[in-house]
Parts: sequence; C-alpha cells; structure tokens
Amino acid sequence: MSALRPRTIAITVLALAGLALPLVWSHPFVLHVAIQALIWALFAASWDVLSGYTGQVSFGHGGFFAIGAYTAACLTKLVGASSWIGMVAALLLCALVGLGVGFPALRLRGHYLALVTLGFGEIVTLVVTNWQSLTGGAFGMHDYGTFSGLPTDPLAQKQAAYLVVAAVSLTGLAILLYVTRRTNAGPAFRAIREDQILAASLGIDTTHYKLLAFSLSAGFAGLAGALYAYYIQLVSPTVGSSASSALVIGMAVFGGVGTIWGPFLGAILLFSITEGLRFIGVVYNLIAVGAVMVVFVIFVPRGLAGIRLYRRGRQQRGDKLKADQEAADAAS
Amino acid sequence: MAEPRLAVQELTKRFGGLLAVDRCSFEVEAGSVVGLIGPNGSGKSTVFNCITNLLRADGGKVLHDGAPLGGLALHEVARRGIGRTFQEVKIFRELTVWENLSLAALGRRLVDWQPRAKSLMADFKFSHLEHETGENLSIGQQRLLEVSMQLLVQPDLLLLDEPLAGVHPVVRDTIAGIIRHERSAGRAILLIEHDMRFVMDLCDRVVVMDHGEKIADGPPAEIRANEKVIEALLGASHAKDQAKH
Repeated sequence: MSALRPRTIAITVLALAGLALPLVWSHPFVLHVAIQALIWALFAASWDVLSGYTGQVSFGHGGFFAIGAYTAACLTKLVGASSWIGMVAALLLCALVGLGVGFPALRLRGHYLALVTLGFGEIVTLVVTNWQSLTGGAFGMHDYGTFSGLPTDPLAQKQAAYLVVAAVSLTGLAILLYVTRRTNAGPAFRAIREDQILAASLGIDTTHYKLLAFSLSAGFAGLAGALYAYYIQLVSPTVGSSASSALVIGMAVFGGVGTIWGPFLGAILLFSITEGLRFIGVVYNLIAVGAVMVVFVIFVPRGLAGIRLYRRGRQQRGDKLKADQEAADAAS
Repeated sequence: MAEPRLAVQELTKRFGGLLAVDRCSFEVEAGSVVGLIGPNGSGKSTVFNCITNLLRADGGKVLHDGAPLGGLALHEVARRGIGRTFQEVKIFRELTVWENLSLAALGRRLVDWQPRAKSLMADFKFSHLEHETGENLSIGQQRLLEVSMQLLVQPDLLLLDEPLAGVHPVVRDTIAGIIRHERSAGRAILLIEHDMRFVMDLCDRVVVMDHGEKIADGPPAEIRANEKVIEALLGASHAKDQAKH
C-alpha cells in the first residue's frame, strides 16, 4: 500500500496538471481541442463498458451519442429546459434505449450482435435525417443555447465550458470506474466476456448484467452526446454515423479495451493528435492517425493500458519461474 | 421416504431427426456417486446439459429434491445448489486463479468465502498459482481449478463430466480423493467418465447409455457382468468371446 502511494500521487499530480493545462495555456484552439477530447473520452469509456468489459461489441454506439445530442438540443430549444436537465434527460433516455437494444442482444453474440448494433446506429441516423419537423433533417438543429450560465466574454465562455465538460466527463469516468471495479458488476462483466456459459453455470445472472452493461454504456454515450450538442451548438445526422462509431472504437483500442481509463486516455491523446496535426493538412492528419492506429493494433493490441498489463504479466511469470526454480532447488 | 437428490424421469432430447436421449430415467441419492457411462455419442453429456437446462429437453422431467428444474435459467439451476464441470475444461482463462474462485463465489452470493478458497488451493496444491492466469496452468491444474470452483460453493449435487480427461495419474488420484470426500460429506455426485476402473472403484451405482437409451442401471459388479453393457462398450464380438469362456 505504502509502495503504491507515491505512484498514485504522481499519477494524480500529472492528471491534474494535464487537466489544468488548457486553463493555463488559454488559447481558444487549445480549449476547443481539450473540450472535444474530453467529450470523446467519455464516449470511448462508455463504449468500453459494453464492448471492452462485457465483450458485447457494439458498432452502433454513434446511435446513442446522436440520441443524447438530439435529446439535449430538443429539450433546450423546444421546451426551454436548462442544459443540466438536458444532460440528465439524455443520459436517462439513452439508458432506456440501451435496455431496449440490449434485449435482442441477449440471444446474439459475435458478428450477429455487431450487425444488430450497426443496424441500430443506421436506423437512428435515418430517423433523425427524415424526422424534419423535430430534428431539422439533414441540416440538423442549431440556435438552442449552450451550457446554462456561461459568461459572455468569448475566452471566459470557452474556459467555463471546459470546466463544465471536464467536471461532467470526469464524474462519468469515476462512476464507470466505480461500477466496474468496486461492485459485483465488474467481475460479472468480465465473466460474461470470457465465457457466458461458464458464468451462468456458476450462478451469475448473465441476462441482468448484460442489460446493465447495455444500459450503463448507452446512458453515458448519450451524456457525451449531450455535452457535444451544448458545446458545438449544432447537431446533425452525421454525429450518429457509423464513422463516429468506428472512431470511438479506434480510440478505445488505442487506449486499451477493458480498462475504462485506457479508452478515456486513448481518446484524449488520439483526438489531440488529430487536431494537433491539422497543420500538415486535414487529410494528412487523418492518415497519420490511421497509421498510428494500425501500428497499435499490430504491435500493441492491448493499447496503452496493455503496455502496463503486459509488463505486470511478465513480472508475474518471472516471479513464478523464480519460485519454481527455488522449489526445485529445495527439493533436490 | 426422502426424495432423491436428483430424479431424471423419461428425459428426451432430439436434435432434428436424431434422438440424442430417449426416455432416460434414473436417480441419484444424497451421499452417493452414480456413474453415467456409455460409448461416445451415447447421449451422456446431453443428459448433463438437459439437467442443467443448458439445453431444453423435448420431454420428461428433472427433479431436484422433488422440485422440477424445467423452465429455470442456467444460473437459477446453479443457485439451486447444482454444480457442474464440462467435458472440455471450462475456466476463465484470462483471469487469475483467485479471480476464477471469486467469480464462483459471486455467482452464489457467498460471503466470507476466502478462507475456504485458500484451503481448497492448499489441498489441491496450487496455492502458489493464486495470481497466475488460467491459461498458464497445465490441463491437470485447470481441471482442479474447475472442480475447486464448484467445491467452493458446496453444491448438494455435483455433475462431473469426464474429470480425468487429459490429466496426470497423480491428479487422477487427487480427483478420486475429492469425490470420496464429497460423498462422505453427503453430496450427490453424477459422474461421466470413460476410465472404467475409476468408475467401478468409485461409484455406488452405474447407469449405462447407448444410442440415447438407458440400457442398464445397477451396482458396478452387476454392470460388469451385463452382456448388453459389454457389447455396447466393447463390441458384439467381445461379448461373444466372453460368453464362450
């Protein structure tokens, strides 16, 4: 415990310094990148609860993101609700939709489940594109207000928006980490990912936990969508496209699936790299990011978090070999 | 008279046109070991899968202490106190030995299970592998871990599907010891195994299946002398030779 403390302190200090950086280096572009990176980080962490922890791979998470974004925009524009209510509503509605999508998924695995989630994302995109009276169709929604109570000065407004997004994203991360690490849900999710039949044979209610994973994951993806809507101030059908879903999967893989914090960190880094490389050209930066992802998939398949896990595993195997050797020596 | 721990009544299972289990009936009493034997494809594992509701039976009933198990989900059957192992060893391969045991405890909502888990690891001599992942264990160790996960939760009915498959003779003796100990503790054990000496030495009764049908049910000595059993297990020519001698 005492050996861990300095490392924990060091990580906390580094994380706080990283979070404070956009406030210290308060350039509008830096704040803009940091805000979006945190939104994508929450989105990636939410995807990881379902797909990384539970192994129920979703190719349609952009759908939940879009529902969250449109819910927030509609409530604020049509009802005049505050952004806080919009965010809570987006989370709850998406959790409910996640529960609905989760039901057919109970009977499906692997490619079949992936196809269902892909179809779900496409259905959401089609609905928001064609429900013009509510969503504005292909042009999307705008002029619905940003986060409640922000200052009017442009830079101060961006700084305050950054603080709101950081607070909500980090709270979301903390909740997801708590659920997966401190409650029975985390081990049950991992058991389902490893072997559903064995998990059920041991008495684990796999139906309950799969629905919980769907609901939790969809809810926080929706919350990320609401943050996006309030910050960007424009919601169009592209937010729910399969490209969004693919990007979030790439971010999670880059960070290390099945760890929650890995995809969160991976999304921040990958999004920052994408935006930071804009100076080389808006196509070349995407190619560079694609190359980074390919390299990671080939050489570091467990992502950033996997580097640490791999080192720990190697250490354990080393300890075991040493212990076996000592036992053999003692026996002889 | 007390209900048997397990009563399988007229159990039937079809896979399309194939009748995998045909009106099979037998019982397992508390504190007894019953062997379920038969040639490959005779329907033994299908019976296990129907008892635990991994497969839905097409006919018949399965009763546990007199209560029907039909319609229950797999996890509900486990929570009734029925543990099972699988023909191909099933453990969580990417999780450590300790995490595997903790998931067994989670499934049955056990509290204060840790001392018993440590005791089981010590008894089966894999305490030093507590932090090792399942995939790094030998087949024998994996088998012992799989059995330990069931013993941790102390089921009153234990179904063991070929527990000796691929294990070292030393582990075989350990597993035999486990079965004897659990029987003396009052547990009912249903055992599928191809090692006839192991089955005949351990079991109080043996049920024999062939082509989905039960062809014999009785004490080991009686089963050994049963011509239908010999024919099913060793072939018709061997049965004729036996008859000549």
